Amino acid sequence: MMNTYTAFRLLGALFLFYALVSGSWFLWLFGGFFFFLLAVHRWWSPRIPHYVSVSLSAEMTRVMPHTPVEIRVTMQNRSWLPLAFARVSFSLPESVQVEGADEVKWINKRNYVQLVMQLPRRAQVERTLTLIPQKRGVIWLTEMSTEILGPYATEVSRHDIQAELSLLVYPEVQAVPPLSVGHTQPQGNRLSAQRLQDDVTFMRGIRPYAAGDRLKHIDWKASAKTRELQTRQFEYTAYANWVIVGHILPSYDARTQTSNDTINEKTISLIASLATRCRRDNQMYELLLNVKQRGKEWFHLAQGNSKAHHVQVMTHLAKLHQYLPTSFVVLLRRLTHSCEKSAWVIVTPRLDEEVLAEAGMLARRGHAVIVFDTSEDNPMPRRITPQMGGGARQLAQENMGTTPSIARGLAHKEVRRI
Amino acid sequence: MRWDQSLRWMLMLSLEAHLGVALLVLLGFLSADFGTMLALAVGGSLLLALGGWLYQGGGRSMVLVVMLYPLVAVVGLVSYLLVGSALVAVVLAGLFYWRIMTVVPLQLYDYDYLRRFFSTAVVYGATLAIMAFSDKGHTADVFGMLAVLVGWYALVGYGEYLTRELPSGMSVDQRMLARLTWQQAQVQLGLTALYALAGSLVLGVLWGVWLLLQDPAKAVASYIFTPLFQLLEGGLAQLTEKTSQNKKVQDLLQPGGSDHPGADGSLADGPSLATLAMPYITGGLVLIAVLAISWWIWKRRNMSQIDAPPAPVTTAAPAQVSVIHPADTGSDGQSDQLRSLETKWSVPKDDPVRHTYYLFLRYMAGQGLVIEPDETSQEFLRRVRAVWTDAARILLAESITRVYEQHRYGQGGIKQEDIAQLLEDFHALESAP
Repeated sequence: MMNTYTAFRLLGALFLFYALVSGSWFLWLFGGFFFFLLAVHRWWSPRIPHYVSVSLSAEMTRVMPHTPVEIRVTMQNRSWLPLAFARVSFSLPESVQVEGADEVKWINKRNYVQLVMQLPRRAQVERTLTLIPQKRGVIWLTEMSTEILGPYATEVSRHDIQAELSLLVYPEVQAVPPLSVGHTQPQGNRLSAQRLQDDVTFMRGIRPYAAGDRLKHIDWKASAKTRELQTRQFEYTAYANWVIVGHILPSYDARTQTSNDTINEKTISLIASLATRCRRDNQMYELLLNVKQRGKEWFHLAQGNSKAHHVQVMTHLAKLHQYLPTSFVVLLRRLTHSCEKSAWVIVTPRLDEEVLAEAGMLARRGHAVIVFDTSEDNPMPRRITPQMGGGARQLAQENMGTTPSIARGLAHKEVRRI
Repeated sequence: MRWDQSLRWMLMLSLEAHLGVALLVLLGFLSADFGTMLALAVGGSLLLALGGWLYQGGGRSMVLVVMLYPLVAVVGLVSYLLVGSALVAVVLAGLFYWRIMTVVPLQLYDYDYLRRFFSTAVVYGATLAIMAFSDKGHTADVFGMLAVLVGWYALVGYGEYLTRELPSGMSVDQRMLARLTWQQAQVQLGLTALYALAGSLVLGVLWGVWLLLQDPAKAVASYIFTPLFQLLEGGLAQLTEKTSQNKKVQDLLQPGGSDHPGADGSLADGPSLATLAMPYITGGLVLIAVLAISWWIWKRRNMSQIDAPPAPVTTAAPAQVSVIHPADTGSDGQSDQLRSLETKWSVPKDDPVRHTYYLFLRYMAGQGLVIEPDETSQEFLRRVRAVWTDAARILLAESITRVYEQHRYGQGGIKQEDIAQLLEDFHALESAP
């Protein structure tokens, strides 16, 4: 197919040949004019990124799902050439709803957004878009393409422009029933035989020295005043050590030929909900996921309940893509070596025999274990307690926060499943 | 149908009107007069646009569709009056009707416009060629139409881009669009005027060069080629004479008899071969001269980009290089070293000591002694001492290095006298044989 370049070259060569034969000044100029047009286009096209720029800015870059975000698209024209109907296009995931664009097309599971700008020379135009993300993740707005007419309106130049904007969409947070385990525990709940320690930061008082007390805790001033040895008393080492353990399935299970994206989203959403609940209740917690991270077999986020910690947790959960899951059972097995008494909240979509066995092991070690089964439509917390005199398979489950009859029914169901 | 879609086929039909006019001129049905051609192109465009509008109005009013047929008849009548041939008039009326029926419902793309423009320009080109061969008509009129065609195509191209399918529901600010169109026209006119000015200047300069070189080149060409051509003409004359005496050859060349004018094959009647070929030879010589000068300028400019060292390279330099760096015997390697030295040493000129030492290193590189990236100034000086034999020059190099090290690594700063001494030493080293 003939394009402008070919046509103009042919015409230019033809008329220059005539000019050579006839010696006409007009034909020299006329034939050369076609090459001049091409030269102008060739000069202009690579300089478009220098003269024309597109920048993006947003009022917020970390949002919850279903939150409208206003994006300002600013196009600057630093050249003397006006840009009529300059088109700016970029693509977004299909889960992002776009309002305010001139055109949004759904192609290959992505939304292709197009803006048509009218820029006079040496001016800038600003447009506002509203993005409404529906799913967690990172929305990258880094690659945009422009379509601009050249100085002689003969050919359109297309260029890719790099932008720098990304939106972090947190996982969806749903209502979680209150959990009644893992409240403040008094001194003496350590699982090891190690001597118990109080929190030396805060002194509670003094008492007379007794055999076996640590010598370094003797209050010498008080001893001198009372003329007998006094020992300092400290506040209890009272904190609730909560650990949220998430079970992430492989994105695609080749054995069953099923995609686990939906169930994983549900799991991640529930973990985020638990984290939000802990943050609201001012509850310290750790996070463990069975995905590889920085060479380790699982993802571990240290204990905390500050705002920064919460943001960190939510950011990790929002960015949880392209993960490599590891064995969840092995993760639980390793956790049984923990010597701190903790409240374990296990979120798993596969509450099978092995997971229950390991959860029961944790319960027998003295931990408080709560399990959420996200394969259910409405996952509810279940307390797992070790059966007295029974094995790991004979665990009693009770539904927390429900009526005793429902709890008995669930326990019966679990027993039957086992 | 929206206004922008109507504008698209109107622009297309206007290009086809231009093409029709060009074909009529090429086929000889129309005189190549600028006013006539322009009026016909504009009138044809308007008639086609009117016909298309009538055809398009059929969806709303049946009367408008019926009005198309009298319009076709009018076109046929006007064509007859213009061309004088009933057959051509009927064909033109049929073409008019056919193009409206075809173009208006079409989905038009940019290359459709380009094809019409290209075809029209080629037809005008063919018209020019025929005019040149037949010596009929005024080429200036066709030149004018070509200029009009190119200008019109620039507008058509812009209009085509503006009327491309826009996203549905998008509102267009007409005032802004008019403003942008005006600015675009300004840019186009400005660039065209600039081109015409620059092109005329270049052609004028070339014409001046031609006038300047024409006579000397012609004299040289005559001096060199005239004897050759005379020799060639003599040979040809002898050959002609021999062939004219040979009856078999005459029968073969002229089987019908010998009444054809110029059958004797004499070359003396026409202009001589040298006269015929001399303008081309002169032009060729001028062209060769211009190309040679351009090549010389280009080569000189390119050579000047390679930053040569300030000091002239002594004859002993290559031997020194070969002794110290057996691998770097080529001049390219030396240039690379110089470049690396320049990139490595970006010395501010407001620091006279460091800048002078940098000049010293460049001078040494010119002498074949390039400081290595991992070499200290003392190590470099040691290498210089090992290579050079002239004690005076070694002393100068030592003095320069000493001042530089004192400035670079010393604590107490440096005196103005030392800087003056450093500059003096460096100039002395430069001027040393």
